[in-house]
Amino acid sequence: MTDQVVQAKNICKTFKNNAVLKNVSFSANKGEIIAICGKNGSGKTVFVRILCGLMKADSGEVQVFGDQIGKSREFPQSTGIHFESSGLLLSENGFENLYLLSLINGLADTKAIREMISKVGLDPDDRRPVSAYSTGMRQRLGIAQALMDKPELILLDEPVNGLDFAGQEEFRKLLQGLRNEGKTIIFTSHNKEEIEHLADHAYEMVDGQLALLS
Amino acid sequence: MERKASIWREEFRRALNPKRLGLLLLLSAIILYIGWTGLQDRVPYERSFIDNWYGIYNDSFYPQLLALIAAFPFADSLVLDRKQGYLNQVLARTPYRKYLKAKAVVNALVGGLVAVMPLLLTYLLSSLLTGNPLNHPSVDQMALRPYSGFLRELYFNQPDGFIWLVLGLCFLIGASSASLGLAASLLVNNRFFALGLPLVLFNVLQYFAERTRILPDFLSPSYSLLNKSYSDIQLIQTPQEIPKLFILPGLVFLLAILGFVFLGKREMVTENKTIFESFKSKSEPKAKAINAKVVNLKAGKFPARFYSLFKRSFKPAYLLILVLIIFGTGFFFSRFLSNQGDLSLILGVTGDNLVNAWDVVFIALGNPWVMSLLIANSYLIFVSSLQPETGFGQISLFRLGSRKKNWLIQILYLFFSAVFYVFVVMLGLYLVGIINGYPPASQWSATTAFGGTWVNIPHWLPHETSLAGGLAMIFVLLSLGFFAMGLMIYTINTIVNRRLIGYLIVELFLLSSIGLAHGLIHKAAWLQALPLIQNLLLSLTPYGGREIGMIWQPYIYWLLVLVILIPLSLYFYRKQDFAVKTDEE
Repeated sequence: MTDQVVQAKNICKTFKNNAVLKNVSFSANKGEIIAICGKNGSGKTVFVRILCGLMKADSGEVQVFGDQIGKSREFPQSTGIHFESSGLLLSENGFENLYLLSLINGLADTKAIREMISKVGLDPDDRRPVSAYSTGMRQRLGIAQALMDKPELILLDEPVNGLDFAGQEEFRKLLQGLRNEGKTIIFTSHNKEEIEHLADHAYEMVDGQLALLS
Repeated sequence: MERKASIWREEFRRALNPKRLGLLLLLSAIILYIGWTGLQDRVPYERSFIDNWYGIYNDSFYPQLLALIAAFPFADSLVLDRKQGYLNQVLARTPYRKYLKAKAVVNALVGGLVAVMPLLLTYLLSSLLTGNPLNHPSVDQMALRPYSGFLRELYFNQPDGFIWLVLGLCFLIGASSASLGLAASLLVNNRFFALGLPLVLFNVLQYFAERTRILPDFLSPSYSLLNKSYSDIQLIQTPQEIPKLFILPGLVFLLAILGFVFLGKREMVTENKTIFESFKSKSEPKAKAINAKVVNLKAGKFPARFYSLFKRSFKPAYLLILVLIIFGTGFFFSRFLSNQGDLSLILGVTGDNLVNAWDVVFIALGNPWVMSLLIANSYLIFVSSLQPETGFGQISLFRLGSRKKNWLIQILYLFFSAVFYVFVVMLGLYLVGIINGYPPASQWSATTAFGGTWVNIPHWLPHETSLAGGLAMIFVLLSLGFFAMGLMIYTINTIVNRRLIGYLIVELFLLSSIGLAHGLIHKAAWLQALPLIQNLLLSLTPYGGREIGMIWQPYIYWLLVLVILIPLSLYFYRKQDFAVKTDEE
């Protein structure tokens, strides 16, 4: 049995005559941390959205845990996602946000939610609405959301944006802990230096194609 | 050479967004075209260019929608600037007062211009394409020209002057509406509030001035707009009365300026707080521990998923709006019924059950203006945020793992919310009727049984079915209609990937369908059945009557709409890409 978790072949995506992804191929194995960096607008987010099924490629195919995304499954199983826009209800508190999401698939109970909120450095009993959170706090809550179901694959888009220095350090430790548990992590960033000492493999998105950095 | 930077230039550039203006022009053209068809039908004589222009203006319902049209380009811009963080970028480059001043002036100017532009184009087309001589006596037989006084003289002797006078007044009303919308967004930081408040206010003023005579004539927009066809309010007769035309726009401007002064303080705006929120945050206590179990639902099952969707779609403010609408409408129509005089004498009926609380429900739900502006409108606002998916919605979809299932939950949410909403409105109006002293009853009132048109139901209905049967017919019709209109918004928003567009299109079509229904009175039966409003009301006064054999028509109409839209919405929902969306749009 192969350890390959994600495999993308010849992915192309065009928006109004602008080819954002040009025949991108990529793979990630179990227990790896893979970083994708690139300039703003280079197509990193689009690529991650295609990997998780929220966007559809014009051509090419994505397989996650052996399932072809968009064909045999619409969205990959056992996968946590977090995007730069944190996708939170601003009128609800942090716990309520995660609780409402847990109601949909029933994979995380209230205990797991509280634990995960604490693990990212927030207070699960904080009753303030998310609208009162700082950018960094929203990022932390978004990451907790991605991890609360204990997924095998974690896709994170710009996870350290808005985090303070201590937050970045905690995030690094969190990723390393997850890797030790055998989780596969793919994250994007526009900071090359930041990712090089954290990721097992780093890629750069240039002109719609992925180039291996390290 | 370095270009001179200016906040004025920047605000003008944003206010004159070609996409919004194009859409507005298209919708205005549709509304005015409806007026043209009505005019063709109503006054088939030798109309001059001014007869055509004034006829289209009057018969089109454009004046009634003018407040919304004027607010549409830019009145919600402050909400967007605050929610999207653009305000911070601007304030890093220019003083706050200058920014607010520029926005207020640009918004007023563009609002006025946009209100006038379609009428100017109509003026141009009418002048170019109409060859008939001025003042043909045959047209005078019809209710089109001013009947008497100084305006009649102006109309006959200086038609261009008359048109420019109306255009100037439209500009003022448009500018004041847009200003009110912008100022309103300082009170409630919401786009719908900014765009909708001027429309609601102007039409409420019209209703109270024209129908109930509680307010003086000069507070009705039709008076200031010299709009004649659909108003019983007389136009001004002498030049000395001209200053009265400026009272309404003047008061609205004053209200807007007071809003800017008292609600537009920098700390309230930059900290993204309304006046209510600033009080709330001062009194908010520190958190206590959150209960571990929030609701007793089995996660991963349909009720839990439905609850999750409900929590993210329903806002507590909706309840407040709904209560206000039910109480406002219920009290108004209760008073209206009691002000009709002695119905036993008018209709020649007697008995204890002369008028009962259900009559308040019938008369309110059968009124086209109340239906399109308040009852249907608020439902459409409540459900208009389902599509496109927010960031939270996208994560919810991802966790569910199926676009089709997510779509199904949302469609069911639309359906159940329509049923629940109609139930609450009917029950609420009934209770307000009881509060106002009308008896609860299980049978038709004597007044209704004698003449249903008094309370906006077909005259034959009480003779053909029981009270419960009649209520059930209205309940099913409105539930179907609201569900279908909600689905229209859902489908349009999915296709265009914008939140506001679907609501605006459907609400504008609903409002203009009142005029369209009027214009189609003598057309083929299938054409008469097309306007949305025709299919929400059982009684069609003053439009074409629906006889007992035609009662199935509106039900089939909505079912047909649903048969088309359900697969269409699924197709577009499954096809779409979920691009980056914040929850602060």
